[in-house]
Amino acid sequence: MKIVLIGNGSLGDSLIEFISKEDHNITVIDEDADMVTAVVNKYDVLGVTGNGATVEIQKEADVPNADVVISVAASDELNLLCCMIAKQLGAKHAIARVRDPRYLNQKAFMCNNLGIDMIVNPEHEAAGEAARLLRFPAAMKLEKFAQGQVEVVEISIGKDHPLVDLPLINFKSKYSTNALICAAQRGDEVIIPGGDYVIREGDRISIAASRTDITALFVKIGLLGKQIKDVMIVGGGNISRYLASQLIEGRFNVKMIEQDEKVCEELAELFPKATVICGDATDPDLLDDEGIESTDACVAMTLNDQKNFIISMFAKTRDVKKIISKISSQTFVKLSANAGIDSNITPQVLTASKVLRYIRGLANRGENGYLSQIKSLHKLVGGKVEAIEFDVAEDFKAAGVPLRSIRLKGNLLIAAVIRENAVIYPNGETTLNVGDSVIVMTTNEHLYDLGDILL
Amino acid sequence: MNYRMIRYITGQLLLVEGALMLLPLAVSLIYGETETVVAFVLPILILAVLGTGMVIFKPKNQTIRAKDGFVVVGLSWIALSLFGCIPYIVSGLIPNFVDAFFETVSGFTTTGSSVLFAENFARLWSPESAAVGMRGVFFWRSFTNWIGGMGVLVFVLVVMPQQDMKSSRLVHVMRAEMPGPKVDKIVATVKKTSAIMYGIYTFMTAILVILLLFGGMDLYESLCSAFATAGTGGFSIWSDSMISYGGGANVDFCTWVIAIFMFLFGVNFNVYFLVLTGKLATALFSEELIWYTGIVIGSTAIVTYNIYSIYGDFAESLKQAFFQVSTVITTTGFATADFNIWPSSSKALLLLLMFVGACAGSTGGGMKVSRLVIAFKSAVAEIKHMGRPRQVSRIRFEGKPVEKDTINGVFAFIISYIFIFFGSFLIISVVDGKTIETTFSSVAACINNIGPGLGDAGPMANYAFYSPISKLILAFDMLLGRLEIFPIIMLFSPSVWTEK
Repeated sequence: MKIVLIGNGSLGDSLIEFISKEDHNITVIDEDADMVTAVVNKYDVLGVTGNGATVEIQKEADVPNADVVISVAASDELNLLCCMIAKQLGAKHAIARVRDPRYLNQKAFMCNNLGIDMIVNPEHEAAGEAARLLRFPAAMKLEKFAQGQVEVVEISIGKDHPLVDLPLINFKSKYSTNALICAAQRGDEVIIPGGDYVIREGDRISIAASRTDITALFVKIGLLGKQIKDVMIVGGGNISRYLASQLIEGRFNVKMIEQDEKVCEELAELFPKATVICGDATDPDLLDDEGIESTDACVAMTLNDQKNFIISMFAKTRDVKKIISKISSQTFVKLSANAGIDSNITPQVLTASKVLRYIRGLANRGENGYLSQIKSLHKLVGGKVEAIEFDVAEDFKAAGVPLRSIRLKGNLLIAAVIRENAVIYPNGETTLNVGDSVIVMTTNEHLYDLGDILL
Repeated sequence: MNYRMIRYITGQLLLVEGALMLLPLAVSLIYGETETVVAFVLPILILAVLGTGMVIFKPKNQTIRAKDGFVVVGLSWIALSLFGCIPYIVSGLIPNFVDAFFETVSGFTTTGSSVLFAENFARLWSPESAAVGMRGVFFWRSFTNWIGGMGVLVFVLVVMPQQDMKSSRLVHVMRAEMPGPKVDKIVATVKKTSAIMYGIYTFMTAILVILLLFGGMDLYESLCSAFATAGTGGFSIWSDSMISYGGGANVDFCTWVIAIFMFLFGVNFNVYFLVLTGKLATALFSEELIWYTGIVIGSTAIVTYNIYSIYGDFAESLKQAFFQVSTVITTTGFATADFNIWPSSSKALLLLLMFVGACAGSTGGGMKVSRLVIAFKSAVAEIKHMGRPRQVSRIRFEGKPVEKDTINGVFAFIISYIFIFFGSFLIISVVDGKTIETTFSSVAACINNIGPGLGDAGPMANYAFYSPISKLILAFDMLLGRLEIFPIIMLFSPSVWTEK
């Protein structure tokens, strides 16, 4: 497919990184010539320098023949304009990033009336992810599939963790659970583990199951601690605002810390139920004064990665149970994980996977006979594993055949099957029937269709 | 530096070279040259084993950087030439290693300087028996021109699996091999860009072959001639280059066809891509194309006027003048006349054109029209700036402002070019002591990838008289010229090999 991307910021970069791994022709438009040179050197893409909202530049980038135009420039209005022009020029699909909270309510209106096919809001998604983690603090990362019927949670195995030295083959019987360990990361390597895999200290493992099964399992392991009640949010930006409103709705006690006095006043106006503190959160005295020791969770969401890192490290010294930190730079994510801050949220990766799912969905539609479409896609374990939910359609060749007799590709696992609103944990006798939803975990990229899992 | 990836790409290249040798091998077999077949079987086996050994372990980290791109290209071309000379040595056409290496480098760099004498060509046209014939070997000789014209690594990029190229940043390899001050992709991926380039190249070569068949050449002759023309190489299968075409063809027709096609292969291939995609107007108003065409027309007019007294016939003078201008500016180096006997003003003009060279992104050599235009414009701007220090101006080329980096690159290139040129000139003068005309034009002809020079190295002579040291220096100059200096220079700069 022909994809044109306007604006090469951190989201643009993540998008190109993901999309360029698949067989698409990508053109990047940016006003900064050095940026364009850098991106052309880094990825196998074509670069155009200029203002992406002008017809001339869009024509130069061959937007009229593009399948998808993705506009992720700095300004919301510019993105909307780019998409509208692109659609008028003949682009088939347009995706815009719009992040101003004031536009959030009119998302549907804009999609319907401005001809934009998808509006993404990384901050809103990041806030959603943070809220999910606060509701289930034992997980470092949590993704939902099939309208929340199946969850994939990532946990890290620390010292003295009950799962240390457990061979996977004994996992089921020891905890009499159906939950499946579907991905494991050791050092830089990520694998889909088999029965002979032995869990070691320092691993990060992903578990797939329904919420009740996961909760039951965590209770048995002894991981499920007290529910979180008091949350301290640092930073008064968009993510914090989205998160605060969700948490307040969920009856959490929210304390917000922000440096800028004016912003604080805004926050106080927006969230009467929250405690708004004006001050520099990198100052340990302030955090101690505000009772970081007694808070259940600390969420660092300032614009600055370094600040978030410092705040999280400080929270760790005060034994805060749940620490969530926003980190934009991929290199920082590693550093932060090594330092023991488990839950890092990278907004552009969340959004990029969402866009990727949309693009894969389109790629299917293009060819006849491709029906078993992707319903959702999440990148797990730092983007190295993909968890994809497919519908089983009539064209799926192995429908009705027991899994034991299907030859699947390597590095691939069927984590769960959802049939008539019930979760089935597959074994050799399970069949994939038309109408089911299937969750597939893989380290191979490019699954466009359920048929792609077959060897 | 990513040594593993350099090893891997070089391995791919060796495999491709082995595969390309299957063609001359087939020619040899068709003509029943049973005794010279081994000249191809041996290198093919060596390349297959060596190449497979180098690609069998795929590197984990496939990302290469700009530096790696230059090093890969520099190393690959040297490896290519080392293995490419085996057929000459084994077949006995050129038994001496230095001579064979010189001939191979000359072929791949599309220079066309040769060490062959007229009696060597006799082994092609009237061998003692079919079994010891040289059709395959001479086919390989012309074929090296074709391979080198568009670049062999560009071909590797075409055949390399897309899977290997996604995050490898192979654009650095493409940039280092394709000529021009600023090489960029024409479509989104490196693989497709390379494929389009080779597609246009092959298509134009095919048309040329058909036209030459019309002109009365047989298939073997027209293939070999087309290869040498398309790559702007200049290796001929006849000892008198392109004067008589072995006697079997329509001389006037073939001369015009080859002259026009040389000119066409000297045009930036992006122009053809624009034509293909329907942007005819943009293609025709390409600034470089206008300059290039202007230079060719102007020079042809001057030379025609200048040599009219020798030929005494306008049509003949025009034909000779156009062919010679075309062959020199595109750096092909065919000869239809001994321009050694032309008036000095024509000789001087041709010598100048040697340095100008063809367009960027073509198969031709030399400094490239676009580079000279950019250099000229910035020199003019700089002079204006001296008079009016507060004036701010931006140089434009092809309707777009030229970035500072590009201008600096152009000057760095021209200055390195001059240093290398005079360095080689000095060493060869000391070692061999030929006349200034001979030495100067030989170095110019080699570094600009033309082929024949003036004086003792003129179009009717060859380079066999140079000492081995001079031949190696000239071969080195050809590589520097073809790869536009930096990839070869990088191989010899210590800072590239240390990570400090």
